[in-house]
Amino acid sequence: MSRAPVLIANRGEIAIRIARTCRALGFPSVAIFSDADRYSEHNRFCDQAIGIGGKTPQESYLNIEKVIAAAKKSGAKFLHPGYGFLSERPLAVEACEKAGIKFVGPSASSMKLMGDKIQARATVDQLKIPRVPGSAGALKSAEEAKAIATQIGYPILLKASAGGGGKGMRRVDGEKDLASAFEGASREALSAFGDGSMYLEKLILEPHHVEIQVFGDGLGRAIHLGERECSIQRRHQKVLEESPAPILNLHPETREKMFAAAVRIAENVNYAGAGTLEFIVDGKGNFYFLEMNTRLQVEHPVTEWVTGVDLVAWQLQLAEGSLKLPAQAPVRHGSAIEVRLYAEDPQRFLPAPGPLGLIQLPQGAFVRADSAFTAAGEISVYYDPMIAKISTWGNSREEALNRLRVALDETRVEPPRKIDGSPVGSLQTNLSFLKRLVRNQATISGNTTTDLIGNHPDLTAVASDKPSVEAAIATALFQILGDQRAESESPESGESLWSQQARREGIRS
Amino acid sequence: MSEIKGEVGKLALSFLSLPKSQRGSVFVRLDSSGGNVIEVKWSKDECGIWLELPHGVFGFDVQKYTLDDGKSTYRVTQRNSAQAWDALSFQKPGEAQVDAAASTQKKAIRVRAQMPGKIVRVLVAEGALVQKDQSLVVMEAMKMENEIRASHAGKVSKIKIISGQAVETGTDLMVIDVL
Repeated sequence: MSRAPVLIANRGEIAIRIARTCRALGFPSVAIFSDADRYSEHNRFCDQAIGIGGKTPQESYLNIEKVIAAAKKSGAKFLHPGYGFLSERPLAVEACEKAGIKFVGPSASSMKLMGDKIQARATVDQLKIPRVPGSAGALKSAEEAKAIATQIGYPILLKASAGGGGKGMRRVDGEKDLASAFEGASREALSAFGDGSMYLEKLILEPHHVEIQVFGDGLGRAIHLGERECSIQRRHQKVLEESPAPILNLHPETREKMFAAAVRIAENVNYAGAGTLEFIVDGKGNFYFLEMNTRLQVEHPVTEWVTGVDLVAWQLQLAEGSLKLPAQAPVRHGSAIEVRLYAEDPQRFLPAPGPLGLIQLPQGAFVRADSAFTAAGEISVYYDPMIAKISTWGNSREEALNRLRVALDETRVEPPRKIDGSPVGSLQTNLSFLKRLVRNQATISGNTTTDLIGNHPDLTAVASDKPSVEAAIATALFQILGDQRAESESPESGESLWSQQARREGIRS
Repeated sequence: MSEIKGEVGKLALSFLSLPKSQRGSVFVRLDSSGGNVIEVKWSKDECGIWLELPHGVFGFDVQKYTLDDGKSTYRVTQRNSAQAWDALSFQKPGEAQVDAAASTQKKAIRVRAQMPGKIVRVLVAEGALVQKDQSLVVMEAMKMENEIRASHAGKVSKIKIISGQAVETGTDLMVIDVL
């Protein structure tokens, strides 16, 4: 069967992941790339690649005109937005429609209903689904925020209505910090999303982040594909995701209620394609709606492992009109866990991208690595600093976690080295943190709340300076050899190789 | 050729001859195990070193970095393992005292941008006394606001940027005279 081409309006690992399914199903795939991504690997995984210029996201992957022009030029009939970039922009959906291209995702109207956090809360209130107490809509000022916060009680969370991924978000513990937090978060949101409007919510204690994957047919029917727990976060960004959710194993009746709520929300907005309903669950099993992500999630491999469903295949088939959405939710098997490997320092989690000298991703049974890097290259400062997602499957959570521990020990990501071992560029990764995280007792027990990292300072402590005998020998040898090389190459080390040779052979005049 | 003595993190060891080249073999005396001498075969590669010891083979990624006081140390990660160490170096006798003397001298530290971005706010003025870890500059990079903090206590002797300015990696932001 010959199928129409798909333009992948994204970059990095997700563009490669989508291209693989396109090729498996026989959809010709088209990559786009910015000037900063000319040599990036996602271009080589597609059947065709088109440069759209620019370096910053605004100049490239977020520029709807350029993306649509590339789609037209390539003859693409479908546009898959991946996650981030244009994936949650109703304007992009409308531009696709106008150009006669099918957007692989929900309609602009359900995106507007659920994608904007303030709109989504009104929709969910109509369905009588519980949500965290907070402001009814966008806050007009820090004074208004103060009044509402006093009413519902501190601590509260300030959030950007157009936000995501922790950008434009602040925890506020008392009235005195509110004004400066409001100002800072609003400015951050304005620069990141072009919209500085803010809302606030009561902060739930002992919180677990649990989300339900749904898939809708766009005609009013939807099914769920199980849950994911993503409680382990740093800087309000997920770092470990798993299914099933350990907190719901303690509260199985909550799980069923959440599935029903998620499907009702998706059906209510005639949702088309893959979407995720995010909830917060407290230690007692109460759940509150947080927001809906109207796109494929970064952590979707976890769901693919336990359901056996290729979510991107379903998305493409739905867009094409060939998907038969099952009547029932797929049966879920075993346990899957994913961690995100980032270019960031492993203590404070600040982005630390730079040149990449060596990458070695894990292999082996029940191990999956999604990455845009297979060899030396560069982790660009212009885009998200994620290097890879590493996930494993097991019959039980313990088995999956054991496999993940081995997979992380196999993983290596190193900056290029000068001859004495000093790095070229400023690349650092959170790999050492992830290795500790999968050995942490709270992680192993499954009792993972969103404040896990803050409560375990050993996870972010500086490494020991008391080496093993082997490490001591390695350090000493490396240092002695490196110092020799440095000396022999410095200009003041005297004789050239030529003059040494000449003297040995006695031909010096 | 005499022995090369030194210690790494309190573990004393001496090389009975001078190791040279990418690959080779050397005898090492380990004072920690009662002066036991073992043969160490090594092979350096692009990111570190492989060791063949009498009891097994071990690989390490080794990265050199320089502390603010100019001292070189190594970050060592054992391959296929969760073992990692920071701030290791092979200290020959007498070197430690020299380092200690050097680090007590007055010096100026340049505060640099770690990545390209935009200066949102400058939080201190020239001449200000700052504490270690005090916020100096708010910088926006990779769509997030990050605070740049003082690595040492001292006096801000020069500020080289203004708010709103775009900076590249390595741009000097200010100079702190360590007091």
